[in-house]
Amino acid sequence: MPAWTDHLALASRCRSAQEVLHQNGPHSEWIVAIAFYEALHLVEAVAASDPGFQHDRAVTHMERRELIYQHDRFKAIRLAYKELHRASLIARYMEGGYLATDRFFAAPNLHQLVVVGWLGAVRRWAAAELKLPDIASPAAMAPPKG
Amino acid sequence: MPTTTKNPFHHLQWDSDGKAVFHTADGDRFVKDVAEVVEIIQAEEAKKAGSSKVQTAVAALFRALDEWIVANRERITAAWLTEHDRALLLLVVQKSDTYDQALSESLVSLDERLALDAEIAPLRVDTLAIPSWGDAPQSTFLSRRLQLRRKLG
Repeated sequence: MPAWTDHLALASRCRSAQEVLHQNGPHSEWIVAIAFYEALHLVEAVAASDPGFQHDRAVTHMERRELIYQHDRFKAIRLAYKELHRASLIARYMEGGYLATDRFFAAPNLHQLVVVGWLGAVRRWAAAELKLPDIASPAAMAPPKG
Repeated sequence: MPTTTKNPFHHLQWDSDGKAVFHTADGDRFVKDVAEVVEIIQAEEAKKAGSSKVQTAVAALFRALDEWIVANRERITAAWLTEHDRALLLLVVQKSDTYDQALSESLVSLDERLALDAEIAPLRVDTLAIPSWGDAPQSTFLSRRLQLRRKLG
Protein backbone atom coordinates (compact mmCIF):
# COMPACT_ATOMS: atom_id res chain seq x y z
CA MET A 1 0.00 0.00 0.00
CA PRO A 2 1.52 3.37 -0.98
CA ALA A 3 2.45 5.80 1.78
CA TRP A 4 0.99 9.29 1.80
CA THR A 5 4.21 10.62 0.30
CA ASP A 6 3.84 8.16 -2.60
CA HIS A 7 0.38 9.58 -3.28
CA LEU A 8 1.84 13.09 -3.26
CA ALA A 9 4.44 12.02 -5.80
CA LEU A 10 1.71 10.54 -7.99
CA ALA A 11 -0.33 13.76 -7.68
CA SER A 12 2.75 15.69 -8.76
CA ARG A 13 3.15 13.44 -11.82
CA CYS A 14 -0.48 14.10 -12.71
CA ARG A 15 0.20 17.83 -12.54
CA SER A 16 3.22 17.52 -14.83
CA ALA A 17 1.20 15.44 -17.27
CA GLN A 18 -1.51 18.11 -17.39
CA GLU A 19 1.10 20.73 -18.24
CA VAL A 20 2.56 18.61 -21.03
CA LEU A 21 -0.88 17.96 -22.48
CA HIS A 22 -1.81 21.63 -22.25
CA GLN A 23 1.34 22.65 -24.12
CA ASN A 24 0.86 20.16 -26.92
CA GLY A 25 -2.55 20.85 -28.29
CA PRO A 26 -6.18 20.38 -27.37
CA HIS A 27 -6.46 17.39 -25.07
CA SER A 28 -9.26 18.55 -22.84
CA GLU A 29 -10.64 15.07 -22.15
CA TRP A 30 -7.27 13.87 -20.83
CA ILE A 31 -6.54 17.05 -18.90
CA VAL A 32 -9.88 16.56 -17.15
CA ALA A 33 -9.25 12.87 -16.51
CA ILE A 34 -5.77 13.51 -15.11
CA ALA A 35 -7.06 16.42 -13.01
CA PHE A 36 -9.44 13.96 -11.36
CA TYR A 37 -6.61 11.52 -10.67
CA GLU A 38 -4.51 14.30 -9.14
CA ALA A 39 -7.43 15.06 -6.81
CA LEU A 40 -7.81 11.35 -6.04
CA HIS A 41 -4.16 11.08 -4.99
CA LEU A 42 -4.41 14.22 -2.85
CA VAL A 43 -7.41 12.70 -1.05
CA GLU A 44 -5.50 9.44 -0.65
CA ALA A 45 -2.46 11.32 0.67
CA VAL A 46 -4.51 13.05 3.36
CA ALA A 47 -6.30 9.81 4.31
CA ALA A 48 -3.07 7.79 4.38
CA SER A 49 -1.32 10.45 6.49
CA ASP A 50 -3.85 10.03 9.32
CA PRO A 51 -3.66 6.69 11.19
CA GLY A 52 -7.19 7.37 12.43
CA PHE A 53 -8.62 6.53 9.01
CA GLN A 54 -6.96 3.08 8.90
CA HIS A 55 -6.58 3.78 5.20
CA ASP A 56 -4.09 1.03 4.63
CA ARG A 57 -5.30 -0.74 1.51
CA ALA A 58 -6.36 0.01 -2.03
CA VAL A 59 -9.96 1.21 -2.20
CA THR A 60 -12.56 1.43 -4.95
CA HIS A 61 -14.08 4.71 -6.12
CA MET A 62 -17.19 3.83 -4.11
CA GLU A 63 -15.22 3.18 -0.91
CA ARG A 64 -13.33 6.45 -1.37
CA ARG A 65 -16.64 8.21 -1.87
CA GLU A 66 -17.87 6.81 1.45
CA LEU A 67 -14.74 8.10 3.15
CA ILE A 68 -15.34 11.58 1.74
CA TYR A 69 -18.99 11.69 2.78
CA GLN A 70 -18.68 10.07 6.18
CA HIS A 71 -15.93 12.27 7.60
CA ASP A 72 -16.22 16.02 8.08
CA ARG A 73 -12.54 16.43 7.29
CA PHE A 74 -13.46 16.01 3.60
CA LYS A 75 -16.59 18.17 3.67
CA ALA A 76 -14.86 21.17 2.06
CA ILE A 77 -14.00 19.24 -1.09
CA ARG A 78 -17.13 17.16 -1.63
CA LEU A 79 -18.47 19.30 -4.46
CA ALA A 80 -15.10 19.80 -6.15
CA TYR A 81 -14.18 16.11 -5.95
CA LYS A 82 -17.57 15.00 -7.23
CA GLU A 83 -17.37 17.42 -10.15
CA LEU A 84 -13.88 16.26 -11.09
CA HIS A 85 -15.04 12.65 -11.01
CA ARG A 86 -18.10 13.49 -13.07
CA ALA A 87 -16.03 15.45 -15.59
CA SER A 88 -13.66 12.51 -15.99
CA LEU A 89 -16.58 10.13 -16.56
CA ILE A 90 -18.09 12.41 -19.18
CA ALA A 91 -14.70 12.88 -20.83
CA ARG A 92 -13.87 9.17 -20.93
CA TYR A 93 -17.18 7.46 -21.48
CA MET A 94 -19.56 9.73 -23.32
CA GLU A 95 -19.68 9.53 -27.07
CA GLY A 96 -16.95 11.79 -28.51
CA GLY A 97 -15.28 12.41 -25.15
CA TYR A 98 -13.36 15.52 -26.15
CA LEU A 99 -16.38 17.08 -27.82
CA ALA A 100 -18.49 16.26 -24.78
CA THR A 101 -15.90 17.80 -22.47
CA ASP A 102 -15.40 20.94 -24.54
CA ARG A 103 -19.10 21.53 -24.96
CA PHE A 104 -20.27 20.72 -21.47
CA PHE A 105 -17.54 22.61 -19.66
CA ALA A 106 -17.36 25.45 -22.22
CA ALA A 107 -13.85 24.91 -23.63
CA PRO A 108 -12.47 28.47 -23.17
CA ASN A 109 -13.28 28.26 -19.45
CA LEU A 110 -12.13 24.70 -18.95
CA HIS A 111 -8.90 25.59 -17.14
CA GLN A 112 -10.70 28.12 -14.94
CA LEU A 113 -13.50 25.74 -14.00
CA VAL A 114 -11.67 22.43 -13.72
CA VAL A 115 -8.08 23.28 -12.76
CA VAL A 116 -8.36 26.61 -10.93
CA GLY A 117 -11.83 25.95 -9.57
CA TRP A 118 -12.34 22.32 -8.59
CA LEU A 119 -8.79 21.01 -8.61
CA GLY A 120 -7.66 24.28 -7.01
CA ALA A 121 -10.10 23.69 -4.15
CA VAL A 122 -8.73 20.19 -3.59
CA ARG A 123 -5.11 21.43 -3.79
CA ARG A 124 -5.75 24.21 -1.26
CA TRP A 125 -7.50 21.77 1.06
CA ALA A 126 -4.69 19.20 0.78
CA ALA A 127 -2.06 21.92 1.29
CA ALA A 128 -3.76 22.96 4.53
CA GLU A 129 -4.37 19.41 5.74
CA LEU A 130 -0.81 18.25 5.05
CA LYS A 131 0.77 21.62 5.95
CA LEU A 132 2.51 21.71 2.58
CA PRO A 133 1.66 25.08 1.02
CA ASP A 134 3.57 24.31 -2.18
CA ILE A 135 0.73 22.02 -3.30
CA ALA A 136 -1.43 25.10 -3.85
CA SER A 137 1.25 27.67 -4.68
CA PRO A 138 0.47 30.41 -7.23
CA ALA A 139 2.79 28.65 -9.70
CA ALA A 140 0.76 25.47 -9.39
CA MET A 141 -2.47 27.35 -10.08
CA ALA A 142 -1.28 29.37 -13.08
CA PRO A 143 -2.47 28.34 -16.53
CA PRO A 144 0.26 26.30 -18.17
CA LYS A 145 2.25 28.16 -20.81
CA GLY A 146 1.26 26.97 -24.23
CA MET B 1 -42.87 -16.55 -13.83
CA PRO B 2 -39.35 -15.80 -15.04
CA THR B 3 -36.44 -16.34 -12.71
CA THR B 4 -34.86 -13.07 -11.77
CA THR B 5 -31.37 -14.47 -11.35
CA LYS B 6 -30.98 -15.57 -14.96
CA ASN B 7 -32.66 -12.82 -16.93
CA PRO B 8 -31.18 -9.37 -16.99
CA PHE B 9 -33.68 -6.80 -15.78
CA HIS B 10 -34.89 -4.14 -18.10
CA HIS B 11 -36.84 -1.13 -17.09
CA LEU B 12 -40.20 0.26 -17.37
CA GLN B 13 -40.85 2.55 -14.47
CA TRP B 14 -40.88 2.78 -10.72
CA ASP B 15 -43.85 4.14 -8.83
CA SER B 16 -44.22 5.77 -5.47
CA ASP B 17 -45.84 2.59 -4.10
CA GLY B 18 -42.53 0.74 -4.40
CA LYS B 19 -43.53 -1.45 -7.35
CA ALA B 20 -41.58 -1.68 -10.56
CA VAL B 21 -42.62 -3.15 -13.91
CA PHE B 22 -39.92 -5.10 -15.72
CA HIS B 23 -39.33 -6.51 -19.16
CA THR B 24 -36.93 -9.40 -19.39
CA ALA B 25 -34.66 -10.19 -22.30
CA ASP B 26 -36.97 -13.02 -23.41
CA GLY B 27 -39.98 -10.75 -23.60
CA ASP B 28 -41.75 -11.44 -20.31
CA ARG B 29 -43.27 -8.60 -18.38
CA PHE B 30 -43.81 -8.69 -14.65
CA VAL B 31 -44.22 -6.58 -11.56
CA LYS B 32 -41.89 -6.86 -8.59
CA ASP B 33 -41.21 -5.05 -5.36
CA VAL B 34 -38.33 -2.68 -5.93
CA ALA B 35 -36.86 -3.81 -2.60
CA GLU B 36 -36.66 -7.38 -3.86
CA VAL B 37 -34.85 -6.26 -7.00
CA VAL B 38 -32.36 -4.17 -5.06
CA GLU B 39 -31.72 -7.10 -2.73
CA ILE B 40 -30.75 -9.23 -5.72
CA ILE B 41 -28.55 -6.50 -7.19
CA GLN B 42 -26.80 -5.83 -3.88
CA ALA B 43 -26.71 -9.43 -2.75
CA GLU B 44 -23.53 -9.02 -0.72
CA GLU B 45 -24.90 -6.06 1.25
CA ALA B 46 -28.23 -7.86 1.72
CA LYS B 47 -26.45 -10.90 3.11
CA LYS B 48 -24.60 -8.74 5.61
CA ALA B 49 -27.49 -6.54 6.67
CA GLY B 50 -30.38 -8.98 6.43
CA SER B 51 -33.41 -8.88 4.21
CA SER B 52 -35.66 -6.76 6.43
CA LYS B 53 -33.00 -4.07 6.81
CA VAL B 54 -32.55 -3.95 3.05
CA GLN B 55 -36.29 -3.52 2.54
CA THR B 56 -36.34 -0.67 5.06
CA ALA B 57 -33.28 0.83 3.36
CA VAL B 58 -34.88 0.66 -0.08
CA ALA B 59 -38.03 2.37 1.19
CA ALA B 60 -35.93 5.14 2.75
CA LEU B 61 -33.82 5.41 -0.39
CA PHE B 62 -36.84 5.84 -2.64
CA ARG B 63 -38.29 8.48 -0.33
CA ALA B 64 -35.03 10.43 -0.54
CA LEU B 65 -34.76 10.04 -4.33
CA ASP B 66 -38.40 10.97 -4.89
CA GLU B 67 -38.06 14.11 -2.78
CA TRP B 68 -34.93 15.14 -4.64
CA ILE B 69 -36.45 14.45 -8.06
CA VAL B 70 -39.61 16.41 -7.29
CA ALA B 71 -37.58 19.34 -5.96
CA ASN B 72 -35.34 19.36 -9.07
CA ARG B 73 -37.92 18.44 -11.70
CA GLU B 74 -37.41 21.74 -13.54
CA ARG B 75 -33.69 21.03 -13.97
CA ILE B 76 -33.80 17.46 -15.25
CA THR B 77 -35.34 15.63 -18.19
CA ALA B 78 -34.99 12.03 -16.97
CA ALA B 79 -34.01 10.00 -13.90
CA TRP B 80 -33.05 6.35 -13.57
CA LEU B 81 -32.01 4.03 -10.82
CA THR B 82 -29.35 1.79 -12.26
CA GLU B 83 -26.13 0.17 -11.04
CA HIS B 84 -22.50 1.12 -11.55
CA ASP B 85 -19.25 0.08 -9.87
CA ARG B 86 -21.10 -2.50 -7.69
CA ALA B 87 -23.39 0.19 -6.31
CA LEU B 88 -26.79 1.63 -7.07
CA LEU B 89 -26.65 4.80 -9.15
CA LEU B 90 -29.18 7.59 -9.49
CA LEU B 91 -28.52 8.77 -13.05
CA VAL B 92 -30.15 12.03 -14.02
CA VAL B 93 -30.11 13.81 -17.34
CA GLN B 94 -29.92 17.53 -16.86
CA LYS B 95 -31.99 19.94 -18.88
CA SER B 96 -29.17 22.37 -19.58
CA ASP B 97 -26.52 21.20 -22.03
CA THR B 98 -23.86 23.19 -20.18
CA TYR B 99 -22.66 23.06 -16.59
CA ASP B 100 -25.48 23.59 -14.06
CA GLN B 101 -23.94 24.54 -10.72
CA ALA B 102 -27.21 24.63 -8.78
CA LEU B 103 -28.03 21.09 -9.85
CA SER B 104 -24.54 19.94 -8.88
CA GLU B 105 -24.80 21.51 -5.42
CA SER B 106 -28.20 19.92 -4.94
CA LEU B 107 -26.79 16.50 -5.86
CA VAL B 108 -24.00 16.86 -3.30
CA SER B 109 -26.66 17.56 -0.65
CA LEU B 110 -28.46 14.40 -1.75
CA ASP B 111 -25.17 12.47 -1.59
CA GLU B 112 -24.66 13.66 1.97
CA ARG B 113 -28.16 12.55 2.91
CA LEU B 114 -27.67 9.14 1.28
CA ALA B 115 -24.33 8.64 3.01
CA LEU B 116 -25.42 9.74 6.46
CA ASP B 117 -28.96 8.35 6.71
CA ALA B 118 -28.70 5.35 9.01
CA GLU B 119 -31.70 3.64 7.39
CA ILE B 120 -30.16 3.83 3.91
CA ALA B 121 -26.72 2.77 5.18
CA PRO B 122 -26.93 -0.92 4.11
CA LEU B 123 -27.10 0.23 0.48
CA ARG B 124 -24.31 1.71 -1.59
CA VAL B 125 -25.69 4.53 -3.69
CA ASP B 126 -24.03 7.08 -5.94
CA THR B 127 -25.45 9.88 -8.08
CA LEU B 128 -24.46 11.27 -11.47
CA ALA B 129 -25.85 14.06 -13.64
CA ILE B 130 -25.05 13.97 -17.34
CA PRO B 131 -25.78 16.39 -20.19
CA SER B 132 -28.77 15.69 -22.40
CA TRP B 133 -27.53 14.83 -25.87
CA GLY B 134 -29.87 12.16 -27.14
CA ASP B 135 -30.06 8.56 -25.96
CA ALA B 136 -26.49 7.38 -26.58
CA PRO B 137 -24.77 9.17 -23.68
CA GLN B 138 -27.24 8.02 -21.08
CA SER B 139 -27.21 4.44 -22.33
CA THR B 140 -23.45 4.47 -21.67
CA PHE B 141 -24.17 4.70 -17.96
CA LEU B 142 -27.20 2.41 -17.74
CA SER B 143 -26.52 -1.13 -16.59
CA ARG B 144 -28.09 -3.99 -18.51
CA ARG B 145 -29.31 -5.51 -15.27
CA LEU B 146 -31.18 -2.56 -13.78
CA GLN B 147 -32.78 0.38 -15.51
CA LEU B 148 -35.64 1.81 -13.48
CA ARG B 149 -36.92 5.03 -14.94
CA ARG B 150 -38.73 7.46 -12.65
CA LYS B 151 -41.91 9.07 -13.95
CA LEU B 152 -41.39 12.84 -13.99
CA GLY B 153 -44.87 13.88 -15.08
